[in-house]
Amino acid sequence: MKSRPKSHPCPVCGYPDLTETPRSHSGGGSYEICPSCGYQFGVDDDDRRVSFSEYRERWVNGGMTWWSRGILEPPNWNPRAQLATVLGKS
Amino acid sequence: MRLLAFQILLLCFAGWGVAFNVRAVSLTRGPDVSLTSTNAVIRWTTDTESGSRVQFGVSLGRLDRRVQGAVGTEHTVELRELKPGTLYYFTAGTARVPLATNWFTTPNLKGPPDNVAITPAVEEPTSRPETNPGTQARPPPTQVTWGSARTLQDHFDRHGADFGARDPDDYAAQAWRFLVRAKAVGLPAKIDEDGVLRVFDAQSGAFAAYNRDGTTKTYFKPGRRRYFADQPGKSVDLRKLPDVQPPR
Repeated sequence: MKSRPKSHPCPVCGYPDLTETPRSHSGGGSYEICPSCGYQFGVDDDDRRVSFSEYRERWVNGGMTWWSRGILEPPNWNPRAQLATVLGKS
Repeated sequence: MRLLAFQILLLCFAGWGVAFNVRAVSLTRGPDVSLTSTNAVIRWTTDTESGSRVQFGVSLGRLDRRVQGAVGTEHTVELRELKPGTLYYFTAGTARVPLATNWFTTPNLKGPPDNVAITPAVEEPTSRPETNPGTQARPPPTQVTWGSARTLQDHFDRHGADFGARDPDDYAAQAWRFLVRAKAVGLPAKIDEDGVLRVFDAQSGAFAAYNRDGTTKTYFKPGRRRYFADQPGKSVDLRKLPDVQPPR
């Protein structure tokens, strides 16, 4: 039986299915773009210097819309419930 | 007296360099590839006589097999004992400089009959300076060069405009060509503990990150000047590194 690849939560918006950890143990960003909020790890933080909380605020103020055009929004996607998983941790 | 003799010797060498103006080798045709299930014959021509060398492997980052041919302007090199139905990458050029980078797929044993499968010319006939290899190379299919196909559209949406890319495939192709050129001319590069290769071209401002297997993670132009310098990893000379993949 094939096991499901391990997924990782987005620290910005709580999207649960990033394919890589946002920052590897070597310290580098994954360069993965969160399909939910659009944050790119290793680019928005390391290059544009936008913190998770700043970006999250913008995303929330922008209406929490699904960002990706390449990855479909999951059925019954609930950005508020997703976001609560991050806010509950911070 | 000895000093005078040394100076005369230096002047002689300088004069020789000016008089003969050592010329770079340029590709004038090919490389063309003829295939069977287990063999490939690669042919190309150059504008001046040079040696013939093909380096090839199953990963762009691991061209670990090498075949050499005769010196001349018409070059033919045969690769033997290939696996049927397998994608191979190769560089063709002189013993010192790869003039072209490309790929081919050997036919399956149950596929087209042997000895009739001939790939189209993988390069347009062209005279290409060796100082800019990779810019004209025809890339493998996007699904081969891009690490995670489902993410390509998003990377294109964010960064495609940095390179004037027409569409996601063009963007992925440009990222592949960037690695080819980086390896040929030795752009600054780093490899981290996870095997991620990061490459930067200060002139164009382009940055790319590649997975251990040579597939692209992302390709963009950072806005911050020290971005590459601040990235993790150990500096590597891509020209001296036949295998960009670190030991597993």
